[in-house]
Amino acid sequence: MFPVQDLDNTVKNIKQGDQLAREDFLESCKPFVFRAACKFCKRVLDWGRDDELAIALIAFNEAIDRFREDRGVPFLAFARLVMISRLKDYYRRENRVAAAGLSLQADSQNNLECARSWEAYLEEEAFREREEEIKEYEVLLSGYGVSFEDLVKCSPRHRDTRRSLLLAARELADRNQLFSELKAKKKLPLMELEKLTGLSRKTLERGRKYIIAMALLINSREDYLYLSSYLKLPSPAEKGVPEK
Amino acid sequence: MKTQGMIVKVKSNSCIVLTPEGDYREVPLLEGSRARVGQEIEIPQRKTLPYFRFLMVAASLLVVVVLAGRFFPLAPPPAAAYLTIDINPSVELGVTSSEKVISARGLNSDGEQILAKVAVRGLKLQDAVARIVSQAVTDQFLCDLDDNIILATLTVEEDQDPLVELDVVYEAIEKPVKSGGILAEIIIEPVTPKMREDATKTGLSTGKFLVLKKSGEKGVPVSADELGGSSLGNLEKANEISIIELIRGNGKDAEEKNVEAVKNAKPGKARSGIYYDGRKKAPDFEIITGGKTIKAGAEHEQDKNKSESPGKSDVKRRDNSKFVPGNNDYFSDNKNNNSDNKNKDKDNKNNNRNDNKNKDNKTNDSDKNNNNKNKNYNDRSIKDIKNNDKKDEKNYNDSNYGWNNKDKSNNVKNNHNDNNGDNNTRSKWEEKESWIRQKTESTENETGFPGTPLRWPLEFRHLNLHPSK
Repeated sequence: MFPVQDLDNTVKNIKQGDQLAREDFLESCKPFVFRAACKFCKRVLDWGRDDELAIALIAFNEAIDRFREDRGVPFLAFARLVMISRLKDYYRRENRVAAAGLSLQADSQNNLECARSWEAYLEEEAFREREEEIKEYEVLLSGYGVSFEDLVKCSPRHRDTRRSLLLAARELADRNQLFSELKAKKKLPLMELEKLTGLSRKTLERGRKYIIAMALLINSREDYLYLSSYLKLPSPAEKGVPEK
Repeated sequence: MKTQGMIVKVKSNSCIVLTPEGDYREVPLLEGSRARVGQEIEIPQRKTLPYFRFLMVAASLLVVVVLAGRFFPLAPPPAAAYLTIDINPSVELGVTSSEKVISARGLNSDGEQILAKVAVRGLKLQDAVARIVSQAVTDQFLCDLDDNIILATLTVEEDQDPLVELDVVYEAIEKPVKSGGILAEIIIEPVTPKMREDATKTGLSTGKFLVLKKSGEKGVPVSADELGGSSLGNLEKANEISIIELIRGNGKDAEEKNVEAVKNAKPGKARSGIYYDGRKKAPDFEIITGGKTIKAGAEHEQDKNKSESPGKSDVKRRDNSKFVPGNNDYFSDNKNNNSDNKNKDKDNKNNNRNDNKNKDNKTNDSDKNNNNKNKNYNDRSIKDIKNNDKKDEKNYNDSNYGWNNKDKSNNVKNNHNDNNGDNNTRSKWEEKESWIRQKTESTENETGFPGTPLRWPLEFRHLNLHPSK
């Protein structure tokens, strides 16, 4: 899949009029749009058959234009919000049409007042989503016996240690085999990690909970859009982002 | 650097935030500020030092320890020097560098006895010495018939000035001895700490060990047992040796040493002791103090010159009586008259003391009519009665009189009082201090001089009758 990080720059480029980049970006983001739409509609959609996917993709494109960095919402989360609201509009209209045979002329896009309330709505929605997401993450962590308090205690103070532990977590998250092992046993595959990262066992042991938490976050970064995009994960220089 | 953080958990008065760097931190929440999960907040910079609490605990513990050490010193400071006194009771005092006595031990049974009676710990060295000596005087370890030798040693590190000036120690010993009216040889000798260690091994006091060693060098047979058991005076008698000579290292060597000491006055200081023979060599004694040699004989000659007809008895008396260095009252009148000639041999110190004493002669009279001092006067009055016959002689002598710092008139007054009224007190007093009188009388007979020096009752030492105070 696409990287969660560094989307902001790409979006900025696209906004400046780089059409080719926009095409590429839309293409690369199709899986995300697909997943988000499917989740909202609660059924498996199909490209080329369901209107919802087309509406979602149009909304995604719209989100690129409307995206503002100063809102403090990561792009993907914002795009998802836009897509969901557009899909809601779509369903409402469908229902109205089905019920009264009337089409709602007053589209929110044209109305300034509607636009403003929509912004407020988006903001509120983003906030709510973020809160939910964090709570979800906490529940997930508690499944591994990790709490935020633990993380406060054991998160490495030193920048370099943190970086190396984050890289280890990323390594762990990107290796499906290792990650499934973590999920199954709920404990770190220390031996393998030691070999992969070259970190000492002691360091890994000390940052055990931190690595677990970060690996979980990185692995399911699409579910925890807000959190994962908030983190500035160190990118290993030699490694490209593995595509799924 | 201000960092942002996303709140991931809100607690009662703090919250846990996640920074973009991936650091989880617990941040205290301000009162009244509403925090919501997911909210982005600024993380306040740490105002306090990291581990500040631990530092505080460590610091306060340190303070407690330091203060406790200051107020309750667990281990007393080690003694910087040791002073031993051998009268017959041998006592060793440990002295700190601030001249405080921190340890005292008796080196024989008499010494322990004395220490049981006087508390010297914590006193200044000279006070402690004065107390011990005066206690020895009251306990009759020193009485003026015996051959009294007071041998003091002070440990002095090599190539260093003595911790306490030997003069000071000398004065501390001399004062109670003098006020007790006792003839004594006083020897103060600096020794090396090593000497003290050796002495401790043998179980003797440093002074006696010194005598033992010197006598060994001299070939005089003195056994350790002999030394330990008897007083130095007895020893001297028994073996017919002079301890002063012994310790000074008599003969040519000593004289040469003295000459050298005189030549280079200061460097000699550390090594030379004070030797004063109060008994035998009164007219010609020498004090060697810091290389200075004081000849008392010279003064005597001048005295003779000055006082012609009464001078005979004067000289006679002086030759026989106790001349104590520092007690220069004896010559005070004479000296004031022709001071130019005489002072060349004298210390400044002694001069000063003279002046003081003369002053006191004039000023102290009023103080002394105090009832408390009746005893004191009684003491004198006995003498006065005896002296009545020879009053004319006494008139000019009295003010010269070393032990009586009072005016003649005053004496006479007291004399009268006693004669009129206080016969009871006197008889009481006579009982109490009869032995003193016997002694004084006996000396009187020997010398033919009625006014032998009187003993100040020791109870009145604290009244500062001594004019140098």
